[in-house]
Amino acid sequence: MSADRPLNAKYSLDSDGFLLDPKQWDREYAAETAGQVGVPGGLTKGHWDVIDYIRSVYSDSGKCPLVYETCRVCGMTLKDLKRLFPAGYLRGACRLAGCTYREAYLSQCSLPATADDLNVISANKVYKVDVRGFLVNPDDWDEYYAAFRANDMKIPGGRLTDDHWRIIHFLRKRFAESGAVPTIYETCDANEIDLEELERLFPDGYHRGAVKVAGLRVI
Amino acid sequence: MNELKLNDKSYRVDSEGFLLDYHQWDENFVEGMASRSGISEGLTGKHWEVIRYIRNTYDELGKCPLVYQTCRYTDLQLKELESLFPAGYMRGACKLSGITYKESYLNYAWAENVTDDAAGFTPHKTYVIDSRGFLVRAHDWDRQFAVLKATELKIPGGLSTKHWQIINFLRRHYLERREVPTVFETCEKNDLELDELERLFPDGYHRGAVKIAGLRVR
Repeated sequence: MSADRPLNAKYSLDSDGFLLDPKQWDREYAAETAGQVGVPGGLTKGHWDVIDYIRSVYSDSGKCPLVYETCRVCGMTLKDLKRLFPAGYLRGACRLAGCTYREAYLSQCSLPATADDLNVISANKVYKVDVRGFLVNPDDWDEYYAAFRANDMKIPGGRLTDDHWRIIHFLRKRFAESGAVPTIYETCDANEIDLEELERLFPDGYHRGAVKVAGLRVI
Repeated sequence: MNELKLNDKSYRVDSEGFLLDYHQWDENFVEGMASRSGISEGLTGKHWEVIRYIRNTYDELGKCPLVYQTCRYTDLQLKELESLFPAGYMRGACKLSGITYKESYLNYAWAENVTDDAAGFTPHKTYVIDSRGFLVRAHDWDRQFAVLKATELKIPGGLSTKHWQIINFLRRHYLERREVPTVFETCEKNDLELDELERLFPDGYHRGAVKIAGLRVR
């Protein structure tokens, strides 16, 4: 692993050699790392097309593009991509581009994306959920949990807005004070929203949507 | 589990009074449970309309309808629902109907899609996930977890035979080699084009297929 040392000195990497902070990325990082992901002959225009596409999507939208999108936009079949990045899409192309789904999730949630947040996210916090995806212990909840569950559940717009957070924090606060999940009536009343608005925010339901994202459950 | 006696008939309920076996539901249960759910003036036709809608939806689709659908169908404002079922939608209307989201998962997500697994549904199992929803320990995975993830990700139409083929391939490959196969290997070994994979797992290869298979690269 002696070849890794110069890279480690200049960039912060995780144990698998992935760049920890996408902002540290530069073209030299990609060029230096290429040998480690089975691209021995140096990066060609084809490689750069893919890397530049991933970078540009990430800087425009804060998302790491799916392999489907990358192949489509770069006009490549999966076989073409394999020739360029034999280690895989995530383990090859995305690694060289310095951003993966992890960083994408980060900027998709409405929480401030600072280096500290990155550390929180990488700190390997885990959550116990039941067979229906509800958090078992409400005390384990944090805002990242809410943001990522909402993302998985395909909340409209792909991220929690201030209106969502208002409801989520209301649920958390009420639960902390009373030990009970407020009814849908209380929640709508207290937040001055009608049922249509709640549905727009949490189309998966009150209990199966809002209450779930807030890390709570009635039964 | 508790036994609840209502007008001389016994029902099996959980600690919150929810009916454990929806087959035990009958009108006597509704009558008996009503006063315990804050309905003091007795059941009206409108109560029954809501309850029948929830029961019928479940019978037809295997799903407990969302509060939005119930209000729309029965033409009730939230305030009107509140005056009918003051304890809440789930804690009032659904409880009296003997159907909640728990029963809908049982039918919709589990029973219909898994036919060759003798282990069956284990409702009290829990899973440890990371903040991004990936299973932390690959060996904790079971088919139930795959169904849970696929439901959460809203895989169109649920998990089909073709989905299971990919999931089983990923699991087998991982157990044999302790490594998640690349998207290239997975497509080649399963004779799949990329657009077919996209149709099956629109959330991505790693963020969709690999996640549902309880694996992750990093």
